[in-house]
Amino acid sequence: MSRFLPLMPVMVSAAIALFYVTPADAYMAYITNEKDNSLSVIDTDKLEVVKTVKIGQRPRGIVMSKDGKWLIICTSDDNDVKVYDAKTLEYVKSLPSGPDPELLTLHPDGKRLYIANEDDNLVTVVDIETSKVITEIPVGVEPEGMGMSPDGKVLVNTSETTNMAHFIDTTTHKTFDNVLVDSRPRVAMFNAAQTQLWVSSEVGGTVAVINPADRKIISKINFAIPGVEQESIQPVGIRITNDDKIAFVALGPANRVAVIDTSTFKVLKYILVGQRVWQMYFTPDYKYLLTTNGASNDVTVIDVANQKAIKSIKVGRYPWGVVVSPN
Amino acid sequence: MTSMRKILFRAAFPTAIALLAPFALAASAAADEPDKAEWPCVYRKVPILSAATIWDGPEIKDTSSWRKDDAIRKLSQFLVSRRIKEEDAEAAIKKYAAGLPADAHDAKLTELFAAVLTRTNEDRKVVMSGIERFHKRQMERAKEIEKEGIELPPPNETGVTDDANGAAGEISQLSSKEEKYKWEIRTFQEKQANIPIACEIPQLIDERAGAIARAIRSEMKS
Repeated sequence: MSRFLPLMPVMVSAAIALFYVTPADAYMAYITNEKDNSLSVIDTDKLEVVKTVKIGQRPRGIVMSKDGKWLIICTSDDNDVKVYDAKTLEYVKSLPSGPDPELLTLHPDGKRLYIANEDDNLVTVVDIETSKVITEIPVGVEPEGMGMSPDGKVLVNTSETTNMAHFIDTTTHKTFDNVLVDSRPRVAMFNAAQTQLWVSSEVGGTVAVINPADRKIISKINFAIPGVEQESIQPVGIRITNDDKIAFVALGPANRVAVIDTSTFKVLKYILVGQRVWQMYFTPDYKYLLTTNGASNDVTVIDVANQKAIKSIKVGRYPWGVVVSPN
Repeated sequence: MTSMRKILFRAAFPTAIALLAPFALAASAAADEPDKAEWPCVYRKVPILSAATIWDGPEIKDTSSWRKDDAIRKLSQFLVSRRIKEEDAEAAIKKYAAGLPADAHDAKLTELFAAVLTRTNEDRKVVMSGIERFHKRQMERAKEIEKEGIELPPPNETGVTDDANGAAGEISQLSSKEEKYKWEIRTFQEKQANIPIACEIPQLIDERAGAIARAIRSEMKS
């Protein structure tokens, strides 16, 4: 035994080093809680809430600045967009928006923020550094989803009442095409190769996959879950893996996330998650997918590789949006 | 009566009628749509929580055999009680699962879920019909108050006067009618404010059932 003793401090320090080095994948996930007017912060290594702070009224859509310094949040009932320091969670400033902002997306240039204003049928474009409105783009009735092409050239906005996906040129800020989809389109999401644009229709219960090149619908995906009534299947959030192979679609009050093969458009499985699953976000290593579940007030952690729900984390009331820090 | 009180009274009538108008409208519109007439919550009424919405384990075919199992009967009662903390419920499920024989392990846990689901639906039914009854009473009350409001004489014909020759008895009678009317509106609105709070209860029941289902499922091997 004694001959091992000199090694002990080395082993202990090695163990400590290991302990502290391992969580290189400890990202922070930020969840907006619509009813509590708060933000829950989840450590994605510990998979637990490490902080909860009060923010503006009715927080919904959330994005992070490219450098991970700012959290940019639609505070719908304050009729503005608020910027918070991601580390300290302190309020930095407000950005102008139209009334009732709900969803937003950041241009790959890291400066231009596109905000959907549900009440006045406009998409507001704001420079996040100068806080100045660059322009306002008229779109369909009740603009909702905002999908930015990876090259930043095209913004797709969905309008709830017009039931269309509007294709907007981000240089001219003019709409150059409209595609009719099923009732109440919600989220628009490009794949990384920019060969597919996925649009979810909440009331229609379908997902349309559009070819961004000619704006033709490639496929319309339907869902069926034994024992779950069809009206409960309400597709909302969409996320596609970084290799473009698998798409995850949140199905609202069906409490399932559909796993879809992006080449065959076949549903591979339905993962049971919390109640009224709404938005989703990958950790930067694509190990986990986090879902916000508005009716069960929790976040489900999905193991992406195994396509399994591995944990439920309690957050505030009516969790809505989610974003994960890039670093 | 001072002129200030006269003004306040006069001002109160249109306001009160305006405040009640949505309920009266809702009452008449609801007559055409039976669902809306009975259900006042913002979310759609889901009368029965189906197993599939919270459960991905074996299909639930038998919803009554659990009643013959004393342990499941007692445990399910404990689990659905919202007074019991979620972590205590989870611990109880773990303890129960640990004591099950290997050959009946998952079957018994499935039966436990069937029991929880049945009890949850019984609770939901009681709460939901309570909300509907309350809402129905409020709708009826709105109609009555609206009728009373119409029957009240307009402020300029109430006979309210500072004139010493005025009929004092008549003034006080009318004033008390107006006072009563105001109080009825206030009581109505206070009761109405309880509806959104009551509407949260079925959601809390569902949330609880989901958490219990997840805890049971995580103990299962299949």
